[in-house]
Amino acid sequence: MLEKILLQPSLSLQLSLAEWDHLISAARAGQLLARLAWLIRSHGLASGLPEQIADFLLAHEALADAQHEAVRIEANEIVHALSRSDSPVIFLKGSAYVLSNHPASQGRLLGDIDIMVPRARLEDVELMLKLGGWSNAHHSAYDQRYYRQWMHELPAMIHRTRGVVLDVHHTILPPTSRARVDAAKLFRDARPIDGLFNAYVLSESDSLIHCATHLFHEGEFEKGLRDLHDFHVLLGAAIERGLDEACFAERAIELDLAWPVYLALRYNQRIFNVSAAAEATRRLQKACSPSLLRLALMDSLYQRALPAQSPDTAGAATGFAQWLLFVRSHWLRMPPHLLTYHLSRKALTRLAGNTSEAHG
Amino acid sequence: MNTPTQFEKLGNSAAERSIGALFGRGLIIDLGPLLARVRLSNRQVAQQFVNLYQAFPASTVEGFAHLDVKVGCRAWPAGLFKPQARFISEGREPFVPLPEAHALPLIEWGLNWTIATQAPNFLVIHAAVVALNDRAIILPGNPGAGKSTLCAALVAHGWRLLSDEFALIHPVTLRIHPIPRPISLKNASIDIIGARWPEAWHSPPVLDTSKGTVSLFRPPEDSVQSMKATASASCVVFPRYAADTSLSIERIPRARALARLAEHVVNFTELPRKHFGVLDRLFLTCQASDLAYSDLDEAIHQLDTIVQADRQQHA
Repeated sequence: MLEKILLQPSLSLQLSLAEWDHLISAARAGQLLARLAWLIRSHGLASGLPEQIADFLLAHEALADAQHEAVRIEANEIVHALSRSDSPVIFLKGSAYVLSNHPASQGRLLGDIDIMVPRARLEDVELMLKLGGWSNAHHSAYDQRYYRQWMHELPAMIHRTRGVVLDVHHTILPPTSRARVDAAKLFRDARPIDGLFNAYVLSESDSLIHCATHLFHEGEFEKGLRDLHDFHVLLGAAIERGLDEACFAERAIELDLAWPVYLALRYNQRIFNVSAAAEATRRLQKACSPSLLRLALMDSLYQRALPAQSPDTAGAATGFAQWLLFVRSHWLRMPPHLLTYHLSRKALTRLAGNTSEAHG
Repeated sequence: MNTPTQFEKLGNSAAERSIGALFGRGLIIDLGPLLARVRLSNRQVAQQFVNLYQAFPASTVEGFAHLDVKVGCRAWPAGLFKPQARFISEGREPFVPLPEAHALPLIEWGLNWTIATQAPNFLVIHAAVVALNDRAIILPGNPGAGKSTLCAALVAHGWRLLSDEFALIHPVTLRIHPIPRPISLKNASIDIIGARWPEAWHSPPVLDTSKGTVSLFRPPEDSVQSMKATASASCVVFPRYAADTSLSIERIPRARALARLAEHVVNFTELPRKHFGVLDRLFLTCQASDLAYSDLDEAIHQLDTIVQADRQQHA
């Protein structure tokens, strides 16, 4: 139901109180409560809300606004800390939407801040950040090695006094994954952010491609619908500005990311019941030429895992689908021998009672 | 917020039906400004819960609730060997499980946690609030300062209970929205208040919790009946119980009062700028004082005097 309301907020006027209850708990679980509040208010529907829901729901929009204010301050701090390294920095995902005033920032709740710097500048950037007051959040030697050797990011860094968590990437997918992404191409097309020196966001096409890649490679399905809705809003805004679908599809193929972008387009159409970007979808489907069996399997998993779940109604089948997709996300990120090693190592550490922080 | 229609005073409905709902899909209780869905799995705890919340409107019909709390037990067969009470809200378990005997305080602590984290429509201050008519005194509490004891003594003396735990301040109107849930008393306070307030039903003491021995006191019927009537803040009093001292009361300058009260705002990190503005406006009309006391009667008399003076000023 949340998918329908996100697409057509006026449907909320017909909801019973029990349906509101399910809608709000599903939106809370999916990190979409502030987005829902924004949609309801900006569509002029606030006055039609039941009395017990109006103030409560609308107040959640301010949570996103306060986070956006904080992220602007933090972005200034990051850029300041990196000013002596003359490394360009690309802000990714939520913080990018906020800093570029993109419509996808409306009611968008933020978690960690994600940035990307060129791999060659990584050591320099890490040093500058440490001098600026950030330090590593992961302490075990294994965690440090896991990130530095196999992942596309440094171990998470946390600011000593402000407590904000910063993820520093050098590309958008782990080097161990099957797709080979040339990050230099992303830097070449990046757009500068007004008022922040040497700071960028990805180009419109690349933002869409990154959003799709993130959605289909990360194992966090609680935020699956949130990411798909981000993709939906990004795509809508791009089409409004005259997105060239052929170029967009070409770019996804060039970056070796045709498959996740195809899936994002497919599930945007299926879950939000729209026919957006049919041309790009057709071209990407042709490029990937997935077998019907493979598609049927994907559909059965994603169409269970992506729609909103209220915690009480999520059934065992959904849980199983989410678990399979979690396994799939690891499968895509690491070759089998590394995956076997990583998971057994994690399992043994857990058995030994070591409380080292778990990661995806 | 008006109580929706299918609600009925919990004490007037058949106990078996209410307990059935607590065991099943949940009993929705109108706490004043917020509706809470409560689920429990232990019959004795459910009975005590119904006793405590007797005066509140409740509904067994499926509907909307702002807060979702459940105290369940451990699954069979582990539950047979080491019974535990587990707090669950919206499918998540934010705390470690406690011994089964702590289930009743756990549901109250769980409600506190959900109110502190899930009510962005209010500035939420960790404080007891009592009032005479619509003029309220906010009693912010450092642990051990005696906020709950003083609050219970004032309520036993005839003051209206607005809340033992949270001042919910509307960010636009600055009105305080009462949420007169049971008063939680600890250790020696249980007998002290029990002696002063013999007519109040209270739950059997739960021993050895992380806060010592805990007992929950049922709020007075008329405080619950008038919970939809909001109040305005007359003053903020920071109580401090100090044995063998004579009573002292000292005014706190406005800026200092603001900084100190901000320490007790539990949802300040989520909405810093907005909430700072609310506190700033609150102290345009509201006084603040430090109160040190060792004798409850002297403290009650002092607060009576403050509110009487305030009334004359506002008359």
